[in-house]
Amino acid sequence: MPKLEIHFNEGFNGNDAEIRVNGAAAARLRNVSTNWSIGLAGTVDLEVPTGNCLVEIALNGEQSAKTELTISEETYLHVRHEQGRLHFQSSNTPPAYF
Amino acid sequence: MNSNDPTAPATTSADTMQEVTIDDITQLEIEEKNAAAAPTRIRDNGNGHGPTAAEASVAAERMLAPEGALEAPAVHGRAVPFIPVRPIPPIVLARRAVSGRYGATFGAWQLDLRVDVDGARPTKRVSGDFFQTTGGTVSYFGSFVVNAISLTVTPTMVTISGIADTTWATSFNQLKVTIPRVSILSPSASATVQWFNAASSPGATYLAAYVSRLLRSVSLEQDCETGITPFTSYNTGALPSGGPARNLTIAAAYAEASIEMATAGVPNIIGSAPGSTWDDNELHNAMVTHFSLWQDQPHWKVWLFHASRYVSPSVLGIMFDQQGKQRQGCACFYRHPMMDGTTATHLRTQLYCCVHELGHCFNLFHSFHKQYMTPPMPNRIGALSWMNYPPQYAPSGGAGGTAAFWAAFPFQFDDLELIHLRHAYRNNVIMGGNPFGTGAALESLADFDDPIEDRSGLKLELRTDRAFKLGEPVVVELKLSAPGGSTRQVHPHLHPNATFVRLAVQKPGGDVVIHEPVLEQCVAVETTQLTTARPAIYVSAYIGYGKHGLLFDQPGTYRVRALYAALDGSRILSNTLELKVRAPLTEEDVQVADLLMGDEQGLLFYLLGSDSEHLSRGNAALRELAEKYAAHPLSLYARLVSGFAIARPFKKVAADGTMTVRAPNPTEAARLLGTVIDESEKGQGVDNLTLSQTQCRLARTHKEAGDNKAAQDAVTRMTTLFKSKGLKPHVLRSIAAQGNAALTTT
Repeated sequence: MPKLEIHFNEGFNGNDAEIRVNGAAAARLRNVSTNWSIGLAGTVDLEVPTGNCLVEIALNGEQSAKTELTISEETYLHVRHEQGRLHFQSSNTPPAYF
Repeated sequence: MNSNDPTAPATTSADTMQEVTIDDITQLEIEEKNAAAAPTRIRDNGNGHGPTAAEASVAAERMLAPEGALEAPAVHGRAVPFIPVRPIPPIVLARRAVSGRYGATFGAWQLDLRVDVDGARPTKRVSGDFFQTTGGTVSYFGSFVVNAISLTVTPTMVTISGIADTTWATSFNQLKVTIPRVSILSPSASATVQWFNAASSPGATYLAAYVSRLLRSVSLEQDCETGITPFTSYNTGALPSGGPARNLTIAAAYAEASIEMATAGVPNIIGSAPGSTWDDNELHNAMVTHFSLWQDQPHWKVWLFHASRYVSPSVLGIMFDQQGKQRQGCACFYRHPMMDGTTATHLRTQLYCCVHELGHCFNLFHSFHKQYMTPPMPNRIGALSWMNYPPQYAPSGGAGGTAAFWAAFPFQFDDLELIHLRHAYRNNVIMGGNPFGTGAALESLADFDDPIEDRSGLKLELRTDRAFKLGEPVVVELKLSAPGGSTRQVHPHLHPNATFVRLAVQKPGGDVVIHEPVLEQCVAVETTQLTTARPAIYVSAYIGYGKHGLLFDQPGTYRVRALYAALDGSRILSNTLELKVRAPLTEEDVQVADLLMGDEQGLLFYLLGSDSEHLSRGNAALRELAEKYAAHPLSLYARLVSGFAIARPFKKVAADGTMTVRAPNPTEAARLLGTVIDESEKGQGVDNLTLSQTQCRLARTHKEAGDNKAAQDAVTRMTTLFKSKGLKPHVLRSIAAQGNAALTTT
């Protein structure tokens, strides 16, 4: 199955994140905070089936957001937390941080 | 020189102005006459240097005058005509750039001046840092920058003027810098730095000697992991780029920004297991272990670790040092595919990574993260800068992305980053200064910066023996000592109430507050000696409440630092104490915290009790705590305050002038204080210093009630307890002396 890497990027400050994929609980991150030296708070590696994939992320058990992806190869989903909302951006290019 | 403001005029000019005698004046007049009558020829000015540009141009002008037009000097009373000569055109020598670093010392003040008006990529600014010597310590005082300069250039002089932004309050903020222009054959001239106020009244003047063409200097130590070949140099013309082709090392890249990166320290090879990775804690530990220049204070020193892999495989490099005195170290990871090789692309990435991570050590954020700094700045996603990510490059009106970035990148910082590197206030740039991302928020706390130098022979320690529950009165212990067994004359006024000791408290959210006592005591300064027999003095201080209210009003980790003003003016800084306030665990904890946390309760703890009707709500809360939550550990503080209050009389003066006195109740006081002592002796109460203070109060209470035996028993119990704790002899002697004082006080 292709790999889906979820990268939590800007705007996280001690947050707990719950990740659901296609309605099923997939992962949980605790106390993620953005390291501004690289702009990365944490990552989650998942294996997901090819095709449509619904990713939902809930922050601190309250605010949540979702995005629909079409998975055919290794996919990178970038999540940032700005102005009280979660924003998503997907890519097939491995990110590089420095 | 003004002792509080380095730009203001001297307040006691008589102390600094040298008297000129009449002989000095006469000699000066003779010298001036001789200079006017001297023949016009190039001459050595007596100190081995060539002529100034002014003398050469005057001489050249005379040599070009028509034949016979020159006045003949008189020699032995007869005119002697000059023999006309063919005029020789003057050799016009190139003049040195005036930009660079200059240094001056005047009285207690030292100035590091940065002039940036010519040379490579001048930002047309002047900035500087002041340092102050007080007693045996040299401390950073403040920084200034003139962002909008007026620049006047003549053949002989550069004059720069403008209004400075300063980190300290001053009315003398108008700056004028004059620098003579000298030929390249001459050493660089000194800069005269003059300060004025808005009315153009002169302030302080400094004569700053030239130091270097580079504006800041940093010592760079580089260590490598086993098996890693660190980056050395890359020729920027090897691949398409936006600037001139040149060989760039890390030092050369920073020199182009006018920052000196001087190789320093002891290079190490750091071993690791094959295939292992580094996380931030391991990197920080490696830095503290292997960075030979590392110190837990701000300094112009930085560590670059050439390592193999980070714990997250997508990371090429990281400025990992974001704890304590931050930004002292960074790492690049050579086993990342983009770094792992010797092709031009790999070398370019290695250079980029090294300069980029070091840029974070200078407190630079990514071009696309500027909005997250403190204070925020607009993002610059179109920046062709070391601090951008090539994939994120997005110029306005043009193609972006990695290829476009590298094709246009001239291997430099952008203009605003250059201004930051060269001219930002010292604490915003220096390694170990402000936390990463904080640009200006902590400027007012320069007082609490480590001194550059400390020859005072004194040490101040701040400590506590516990984590505190929310609402619990926060008491810290201050210890002043003379390490090394030397004898030192000190004043014993360690408690913040006497104002010779100040405390800075950083709250969990990052805000920093200066603790100011509710009441400042004016004390007649006593002195005492620290000797080998008595190497330290101690005091415990309740700091939970001050002039601006409750300080420790939320759970989290606080950082506290103390500053002691010594007799000779030295500023003795303590360690930074990390003090934890724990969140309530139970509903009862929440209710107890609510009863303890209020302005009136804070004041009652500060005063150790009061009958004032203006504090009646606070007293009611503490009574409820003592009665309804008697079994809760924090109820002993209510009994402590009540016990101290009721052990002494309380006078009230009514509006009509009548006075009533509430008599002390020694029986009730002894009961209340006795419970505090009982619980504290089991290790479930107050700290040692507060305990001894409570025991002495109990002894006095008994004595005042006429029960001398009970008073003696209380003192004996105290000294026996502290002997059993294995305290040092001088501490036991001090406790015994306090006990005796309690028995003899009337």
